[in-house]
Parts: sequence; C-alpha cells; structure tokens
Amino acid sequence: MLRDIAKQRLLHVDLSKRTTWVEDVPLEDLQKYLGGRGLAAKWLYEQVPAGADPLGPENVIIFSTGTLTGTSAPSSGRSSITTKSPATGLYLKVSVGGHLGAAIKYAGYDYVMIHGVASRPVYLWIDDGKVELRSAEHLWGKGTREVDDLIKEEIGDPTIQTGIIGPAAENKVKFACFVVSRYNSASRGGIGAVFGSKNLKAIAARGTGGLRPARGKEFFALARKVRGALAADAGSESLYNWGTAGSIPGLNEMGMLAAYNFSRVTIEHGERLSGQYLLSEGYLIGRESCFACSTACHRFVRSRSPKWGDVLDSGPELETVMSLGAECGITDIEAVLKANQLCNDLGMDTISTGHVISWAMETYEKGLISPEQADGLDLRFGNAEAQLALIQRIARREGLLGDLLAEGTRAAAEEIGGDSWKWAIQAKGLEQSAVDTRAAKSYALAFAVNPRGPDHLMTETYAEFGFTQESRDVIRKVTGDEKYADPRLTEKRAEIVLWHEQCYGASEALGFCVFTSTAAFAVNPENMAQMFSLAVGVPMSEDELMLAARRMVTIEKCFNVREGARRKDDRLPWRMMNEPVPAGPNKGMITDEAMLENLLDQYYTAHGWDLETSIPRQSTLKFLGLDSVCVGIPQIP
Amino acid sequence: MARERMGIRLRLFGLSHPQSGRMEEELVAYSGGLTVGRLWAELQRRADPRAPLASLQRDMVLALVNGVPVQRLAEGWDAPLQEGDTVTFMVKAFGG
Repeated sequence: MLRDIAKQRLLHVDLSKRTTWVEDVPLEDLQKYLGGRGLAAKWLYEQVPAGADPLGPENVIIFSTGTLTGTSAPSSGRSSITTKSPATGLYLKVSVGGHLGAAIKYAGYDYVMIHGVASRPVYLWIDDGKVELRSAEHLWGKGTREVDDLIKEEIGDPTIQTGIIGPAAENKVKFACFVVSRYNSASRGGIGAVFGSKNLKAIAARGTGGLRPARGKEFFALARKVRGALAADAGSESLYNWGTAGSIPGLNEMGMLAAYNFSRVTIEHGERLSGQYLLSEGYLIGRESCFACSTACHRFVRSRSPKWGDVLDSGPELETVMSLGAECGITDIEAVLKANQLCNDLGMDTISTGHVISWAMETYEKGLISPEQADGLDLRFGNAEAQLALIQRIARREGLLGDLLAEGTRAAAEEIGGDSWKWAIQAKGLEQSAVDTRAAKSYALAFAVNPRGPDHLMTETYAEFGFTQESRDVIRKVTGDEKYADPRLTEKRAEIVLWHEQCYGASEALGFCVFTSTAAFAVNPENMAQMFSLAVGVPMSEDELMLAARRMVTIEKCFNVREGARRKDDRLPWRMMNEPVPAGPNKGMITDEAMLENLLDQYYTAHGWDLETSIPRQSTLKFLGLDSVCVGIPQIP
Repeated sequence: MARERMGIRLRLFGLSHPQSGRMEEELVAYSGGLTVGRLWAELQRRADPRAPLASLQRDMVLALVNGVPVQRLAEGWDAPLQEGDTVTFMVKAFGG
C-alpha cells in the first residue's frame, strides 16, 4: 500500500505502560522543521524536562527516518536518533545508515518515540503497522551479531531489519552504541546506554508498503538526475574504492593524522591503516550500500591473523582506524580489525573507545595510572594486546580501570587527577573525533559549538581545504571569494560553519548521507529543496530550506541552554587550545583561547545569539518562529 | 631525465600499479629549474601504461611539497622545487 510522503506518522511506545499510539504529524510542522532530525529536536525539547536523568524514565529516544527515506532520492536512507546524552547531559543526535529506517518507513511509520522504562528486557517488533513488545530476556548479555541472528530466527525471516545494543549498553557504558542492520553503528554520546537504561535490547522491523511523492514523475526525474551527478563526483569514486579510510595516507603526509592521543601528527607506516592498504593486501572482500545509495562506501573485511584470530566484519571507517589505531600508537591493521570487531559486537563507539584507551596509555606512561590500577595490563602506546583486553573489560565494566574508563575520559581524568585532564581529548564530556582542529579553523569552530561535543558529525566543513573545484565553489558561494578555501585562515569561518551546519541539518532531516552534500557536493541545498517540494507537495525554496535547518540548530542550542550550558562550554579540548602542532608543515599552529573567542564572537553574531552567554536572543527566536517553542530559557531581548 | 644537482625525496602512494596501497619512496636527483607540475608530467611520461600514475588527471592528484598541498603554494603546480624537498603524489581521497 502506498502512503503519501506528506502524511507522516509518529509511533509512540511507552515501555513502562506497555502501550502504543500513533500521532499524525501536521503538514505545517513538516514544512517548518523538514522532518527527521528537525522535528525530533523540537519534540525532544518538548518531551524531556530540564535536569532529567539521561538514563532515567523521563528521557525519550526518538528514532526518525529522513523525510525522503524510502524513496529513490540518492543516498537518502539515513535515520537520526535523538535523545539526551548520558555522556554530556546535553542534546544528542546520532545519524545512522543501513536499512532499518526504510523498513520502518515501509511499515507505515516515519518516527518512533520511546518513552519510559520496561520492567524486564524487551525488544520492539514492528511488522507492517503491527507493533509488539517481545521479551528479550534470552537476548540480554549477548553480542549484537548473535542477537541479530536470534531475532531473525525467532521471526522466521532473515530479511528483517534490526537495531541492537550489546553488553556495553546494558552495562550503561557512556559510549555504548546502537548497531543497525548488523553492520552500521549509531555511535556517539552513549546512545546505546539510553536504550540499555530502558531495558530495550532491540528494534526490529519489516515493511512491505511504499511511499508516494506528491509530484511523482518530476520527483523521480530529479532524483535520477542528482544520482547521476553524484556518481560522477570524484568524492563518490574515492569512497567506493577505499571507503572513508582512504584519507589516511594524505592526512599522514600533511601532518594532520591524530596519533598517540593527539601528541603527534603523523605515525610511521600510517598507510597500513588505510583503505588502500586493506584493498591491496587482500583484506577487503566486499562493499555494501546503505538504502538507496549507489556510492557503497561500506566495507567488508576478512583477516586470518595467527596472532589476533579470524575477523570477518564490516569497516573499518577512517575514525576507527585513527582512534583504535594511530591514537593508540598501533599500525598493525590486523589488530585494529580485531579491535573494531570487538567494539561492534560489544556495542561501543570506536571513536570514544579508542580515545579513552589512548588517554589511559598516555596517563600510564606518565605514571598517573599505576600498574596495580591498570589491573596488570602494560598500557604503553602500541600494545595492541592490552588494548584488546581493555576493550572487553570496559564493555563489561570489569576491574578498576575497565569500570573507570566506561565513564568516559572526562570522568576518568577527574578520578585520576593530576594534570591528566589536560590530555583528556574531550569537551562537554564527549571524546573528540580524530581531526586536528589546530590547523583547520572552521573545524575548530564547528567542534567548539557542536551541541553534542567536539566532532565532525554535526557540521563537516571539509570544503575549507579547497581540494576540489566543487569545494572551492562552495566556499566562494558562502564567502564571496574562493581564497577563503584555506583552513589556516580565521576570516569568514563563521559563515562557512553556518552554511555547513545548515546544509548538514537539512541533509539529515531529509535522510541524505552527508557525504553527498559536504564531501561530494552533488546533493546541495537547491536540489534538496526541490526534492522536498516535489515529494511533499508544498513550496520550498533553497533559502526556506536553510532557514528551517537554522531553526533546528537553534532548538538544539536552546535545549543545551535550558540545561545550563553557556558560552564557557563551547570549548575545545585543552591540548587543542594549549599545545601547538608539534611537527610537520603545520608546526606551531594552534587555536588558542583568544582565537577561539574571536571565532565564537563571529559565530554567535551571525546566529543572533547573545555574545556574553551564547543564549539565542528573543528577537532571533521570534524571527525563526521559535519563541513559543524554546520556552524556559533566560530571555535576552 | 637528467640526474644531477637537485636531490628530492619522492614519495608515491598507490600509483605504481592498480590497487596499490603501499608507499614507495626514493631519493632522486633532477636538474635545476624543476617545478611540481613538470615533475608530475615527467613521472607520468615514464610510467608503466598500466599503472594508475600514467592516466591520472592532475585535478585528481593530491600533490604535496613538504606536506603542503600545492593549492596552498603561491605558484601552485608551477612552484619551483628546492634541494632537499619532499614531494608526495597520491590520488585524492574523500570522506571521514
């Protein structure tokens, strides 16, 4: 059965009361917030009261498919999951690919909002409009891959789509993830721990319905045209060939590879962590696409290592090989593949896992973690055996160190004391992704203002490097001159960040993979607006689309303001602001306090936020039509 | 190619044969007056026709001089090379 794309449906599931109900989404809300991440931000603001415990019953989980997910729009199969983060105590959105979003869409729902806490472990089964909570007691304690097999066996259908937490989430590890379609991960901010706190082991879905665009013929023609442009983009070819880890050799040569807990910017034999190396040495055995994607950046690898054992798994992504590899001083790719597999099965974010371990390694080498505290592990950089043991201990909170690191680097540094907080590469409580923001100023600003903490997954300003004509065209469009495609400059960074955060927000609300719009540039605000308009059947200009995305960014900011976050919280990790790049072509570069303050002034001014506090002004909220939504925050005219 | 006067550390990644994922490095001597663009053209001319190096369009090459992308050098691909420079060529890669 076909369903109009404009007629969106929100499925509520109350785990405490074991009840479900459906709410129709008003068309004007869809138009105002674009759906997906945009509407989820509004609902999170409305549903979760200030001060709510992220791991308590007041928190909600909102699984939102993109507005165009389930259609033939290229690479539009992404979903967002929105909640309050247990890692930061602030707003959290994570994005994930795979096929679960499309399955939920075809089952008749655009969003699933999870309320309350189940008294016993359960999983949610959505089957073409029918919704059921099933016991998951027999699944509790098991790894994500085994649970995927067991649920499919129980349902009797190997084609259903799943999202699953592992033991780490059950143990409320602050960086536990949610594994979707077996091999894709919604990773950051402890999203999995929120599922764990609700005793919700998994979501499984099967859908046989379909979607009807308002102006089908024109929509399909435009989708085909954009798909063609995407296929021709150099970025797509590179992502197909080598995946995201194809960037490793270039970063290493440019002195921008985060290594040894960000104390170095290159690593010897770094190319052994690359997508090219995985291909040339025979580890790569296949590629796969998320729903509706022709790029296929997802990898499958096989390793038969005498030392680390067999691995047959997905990935590894760029951030994974950086965090579990270079950050820990490890270039043995077989060890990194094993660590990646462990994280995926235990259900932990590879970025944060790598970072807590690299922090522990540096702290151990500096004598602040004693051998006794390390529970017998030799935690020096480069020791892959110790890393693999520690991954298992963290997931199960075993031993003194395993339990401590499960709380994340901020909490661990507070407990260990001394100067260890200075090399805890985190801000707002989230471990930073492996981008050296000292030599890339748009990234620095984007990371500092990111509402969920310092990473590239809310605003990717890759265009500032100007490596391709397409990226330089973006910079010219945004700033008026292609000369600003230079990451060392501080001028025009606010304009660049604002454009990218809006482009990113619109992409995610519609379900597009951001690789299509901020790494390759074939999907752009103009054709996104056109596709939205043709699919939903309401007018949408490029400017209106970007304004709607600005609206969602502002709500996300207001959520944090209501939790008490202010300008002082928009920071980079201490090392990034106080220790200049130690070597290489960027030697001496830094984004220090004064520079960051200047960048923040530019950014808040462009947004219409108060310079002293960073609180969005009432005039700004009124302009955006949010004055009746973002209530309960200090009012600044 | 004249091998005199100017010593350059040349690093090629993934360019010698299809699916290569290894870094190849050699110290080579070139005549003076060499630019990044001329060095690239010379390498392409001498390359095995089956190697990626032979057919790669210049706008798909990440060219670095001492780690700095040529786009950031004032003369770009026409930047003159100096004794002791490290020059790296690889295919551009995206995403992360």
